[in-house]
Amino acid sequence: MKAAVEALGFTSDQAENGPRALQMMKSTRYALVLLDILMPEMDGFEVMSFMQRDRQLRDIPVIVISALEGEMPSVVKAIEMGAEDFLPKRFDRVLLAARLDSALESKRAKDRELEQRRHVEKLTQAAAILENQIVNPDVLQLNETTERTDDIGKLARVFVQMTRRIHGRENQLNKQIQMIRTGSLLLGIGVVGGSCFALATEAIQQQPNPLGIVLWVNLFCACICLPIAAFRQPIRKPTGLTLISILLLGVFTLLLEVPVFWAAQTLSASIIVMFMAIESMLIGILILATRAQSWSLSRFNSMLFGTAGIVVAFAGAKTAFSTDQIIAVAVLSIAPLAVAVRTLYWHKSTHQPMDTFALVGSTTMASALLIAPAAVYLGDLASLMPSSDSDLFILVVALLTVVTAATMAMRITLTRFSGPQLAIQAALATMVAGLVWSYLLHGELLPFWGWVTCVLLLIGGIQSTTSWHEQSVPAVHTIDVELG
Amino acid sequence: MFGYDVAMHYKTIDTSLIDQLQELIGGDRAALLELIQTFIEEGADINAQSLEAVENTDIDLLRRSAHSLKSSAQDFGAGQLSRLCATLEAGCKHEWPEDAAEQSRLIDDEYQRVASELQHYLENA
Repeated sequence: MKAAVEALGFTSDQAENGPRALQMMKSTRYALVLLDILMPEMDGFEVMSFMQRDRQLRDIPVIVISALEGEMPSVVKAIEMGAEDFLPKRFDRVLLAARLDSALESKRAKDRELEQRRHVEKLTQAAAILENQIVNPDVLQLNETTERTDDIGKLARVFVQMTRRIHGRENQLNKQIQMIRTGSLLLGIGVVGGSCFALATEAIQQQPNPLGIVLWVNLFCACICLPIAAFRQPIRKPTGLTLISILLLGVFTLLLEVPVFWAAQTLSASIIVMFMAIESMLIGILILATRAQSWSLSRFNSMLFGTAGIVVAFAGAKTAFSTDQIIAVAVLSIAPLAVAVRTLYWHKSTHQPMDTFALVGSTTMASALLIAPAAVYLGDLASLMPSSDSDLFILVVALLTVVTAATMAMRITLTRFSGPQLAIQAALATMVAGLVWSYLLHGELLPFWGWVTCVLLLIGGIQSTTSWHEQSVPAVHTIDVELG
Repeated sequence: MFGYDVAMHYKTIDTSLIDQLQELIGGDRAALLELIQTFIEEGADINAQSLEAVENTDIDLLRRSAHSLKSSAQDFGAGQLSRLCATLEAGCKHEWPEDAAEQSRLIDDEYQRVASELQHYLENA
């Protein structure tokens, strides 16, 4: 039999008994089995029974070999059990070839049908995915189906192409929404946050008690934000790690506010705005230091311009300022660093995610509690008793409270959605708006070297934005799927 | 037919059936001779199994042995051997045949004659 089969151009293997045959079928992919009924250890019926129960073997066609005399009932039984055909023991070459070709063609047709059914199932699953509003071509898993040249392949290609179009449009829309949201936040941070320096100098002019002002502003901030947070969602009991994080954030906040208010006693709002803009470069340095981004030419240029801006600023201050003012500048230098570190800490902190208002409220409460002893001990408590002299002060403190809460909330939101990189743009927006507010509220203008500083920091910030776009925006490849 | 002369007259094997077998395997003479050799060797084993089955009264072994020898004998032109095996196989279907020993002996004798003639066939091929 083996020789006859191989003479027809097929390759074949022979098994001496049923178990061996099953073993061979499990390890090698056979197109067809020629099966004798009467065999040692396991007869042909048992072999067929095993094959029918096995997912891997059940689709292999079987031709039963029999001597016609007296074995017809066995042949009938075998065919009822799923045998494709039978072959008499005394066969000729033509009959053998015909039976083999017929069985193999039948197998091929069955395979094609199974394959088609598999792809139809894939299309059905893809339709179900789309019905669930999941419009993503990668999730459909139709790559293999799209390669077919029949109608099923055509349908799959239509599915994929349309899904890709909708997905692309959705992504575009999401990007636009993201841009609008980011733009709005930057504008908000700039306009609102930029006003705090002019308000700070106004508050100090009313009552030169920097620690007291910081205490009241933070305390009132907490009193506003914590109830809002409680209204939005139940405030969870903080873990030890969360409390430490909040304490640290409170410290950073104080390191920003106290130097600003203290420096406001001797420096104008516009000068404070200019020095605070150094935050833009410091954030860039910290991002590089924490390896959130890698070096590039744009990044190098931004560092260069930023450094030049700082050098001009300090050189200008040394030349133009009095000793008290130089000391104020030195103290003020802590503030932009504190803001930069606080921004990165917001981004990197892994404590349980808090509601934004809860975070603002708890941070400002921590700041208030930390500064209170110092303010009391140093007798630096600002008076909030209503009087004809203090009406403006109370108003300024109220405005500072709102500005502080709003700016912090917007900065946290921006960092959470877009990472720390956009804090650079936020710092520059604050700088521009801050200079405008200083002019509007106090009629202040920067000296020439101050403008040079601002321009250099602005150019550095733009270079930094360019480098961020180069490194974060992936190349988008489109594949045109041809129909028909 | 295939470029050789049949000098011997064979009593127990029908050489025309051997010719058909050669045609079935694509006319490969060398493969045919190898098949004949295999039949001689494996036939001896099956025959021995049959005799062992008689000794041990193993009806399944006896039936399978008779079945195996029956099909192969027919392919190699040993019609009488094939008929004897068919008779024994049929007798083993339901119960132990009374004359199993006698039938096995007849099969053994016939097999020896067939094997001898096939050996001659090989030597003259």
